[in-house]
Amino acid sequence: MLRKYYPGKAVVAAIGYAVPFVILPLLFLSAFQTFLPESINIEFQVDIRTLETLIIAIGATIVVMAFMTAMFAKGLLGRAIFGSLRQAAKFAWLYFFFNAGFIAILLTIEGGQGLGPIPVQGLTLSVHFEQLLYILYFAILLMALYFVVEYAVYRRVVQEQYYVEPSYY
Amino acid sequence: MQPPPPRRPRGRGILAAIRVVSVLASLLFAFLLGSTILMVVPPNLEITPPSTDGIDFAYVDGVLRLDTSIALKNNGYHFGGFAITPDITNFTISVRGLVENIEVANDTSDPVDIPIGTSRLVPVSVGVRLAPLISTGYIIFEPANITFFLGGGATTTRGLLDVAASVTIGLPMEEPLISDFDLDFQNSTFSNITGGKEWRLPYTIRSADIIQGNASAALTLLNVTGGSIGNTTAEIPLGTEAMGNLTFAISDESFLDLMAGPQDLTLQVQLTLPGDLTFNREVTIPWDPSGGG
Repeated sequence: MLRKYYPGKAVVAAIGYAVPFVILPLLFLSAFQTFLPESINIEFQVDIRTLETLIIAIGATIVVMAFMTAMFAKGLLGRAIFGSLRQAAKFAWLYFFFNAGFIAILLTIEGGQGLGPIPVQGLTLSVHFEQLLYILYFAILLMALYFVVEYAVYRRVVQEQYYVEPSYY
Repeated sequence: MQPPPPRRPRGRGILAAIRVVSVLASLLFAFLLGSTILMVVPPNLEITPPSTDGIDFAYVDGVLRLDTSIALKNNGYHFGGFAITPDITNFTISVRGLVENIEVANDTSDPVDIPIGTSRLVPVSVGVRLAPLISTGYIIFEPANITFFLGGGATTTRGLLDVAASVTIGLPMEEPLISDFDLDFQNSTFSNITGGKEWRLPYTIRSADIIQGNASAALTLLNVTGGSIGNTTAEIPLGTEAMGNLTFAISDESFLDLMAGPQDLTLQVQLTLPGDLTFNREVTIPWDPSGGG
């Protein structure tokens, strides 16, 4: 028998999204600030405190959206709306966490030692991957589309199960 | 009455396909980003910096040239016999040079492709322009800290990703290119000429051997009140320790002024180096008529 709401699945989904989008990134940033020497600095779009706040805020939004998405049965409008909104929140999360496709690692070398006979004072390694990030944005867009298509596919089933013969549940 | 079994909706294949493509796209992203990071991790990419002997310095027409080369070997990262990391394309080395926050160099090498398993010698040629330093005298008359930002950049993964690395190199100069310009007042001589005196003033000048040719010097001596004592011109050989004589024609009035007592003289030097670079320098020299300067 089909049900309209799945609270158990919703809790599992919320935990499943909290781990990669809130807990692990915060642990990563915490370890990054604790263990990385002061001479090494990774450049983010915003400062680390703001990034932590953004991760908590956007990550919490993703978790709530994941909870609500999993709560509704396939074919309900609520699932389609919250599923698509979750993808939008993921887009924002990735944009900030991947620094809009730019990672720069700055290394300051004390004492001018380094590259053979050349006294090196600092080293910067930067990766521009904006275009590569489009692949990930495409994957997110596809998943937003997924929830729209899923709603269209399962709508009739839901109507038959819940509204045409409501006495069955 | 039992409810009918749930109907399997049509279109589930489309949903599965969307999900599979989305997962594959995410995996592709992770693979491409990961393989590029692996590419720059030693020993997958070996960089051999130039040795001290491998750097050539030369002064050519107002530009201090540094020529060297950096060797790069793209070993790649292999897994199960397949190269995971990408070829390096359009690798360039760029150099930006600052002397006390004044930009004096900005050069970029020609792009080089480094496929996996190959090594390339990338020539690096830096031209430090001395013209922006004319007003300060840095490098020519004053030692300076030269900071080079040496950057290597490449496009990888079929143009989807740009990787750049740069090192900041600080090169403090121990001595400027022209050092120890001394006037020997003790051995200076005066002789009579029509309308005044000729002051023969021995000088020594030492300049670095990378700067060759002759410099044209126009010199003016000023007394303590700023009045002109005399002026002269000279051709000064560069790249060695040179000695010579400066000859000033001075009036009797200036001669009497010099002999009146000790005073601080000012020597204004206008030095034109090969490449038509003219530097102005002003030095104060204590003068004592009883024992020279």
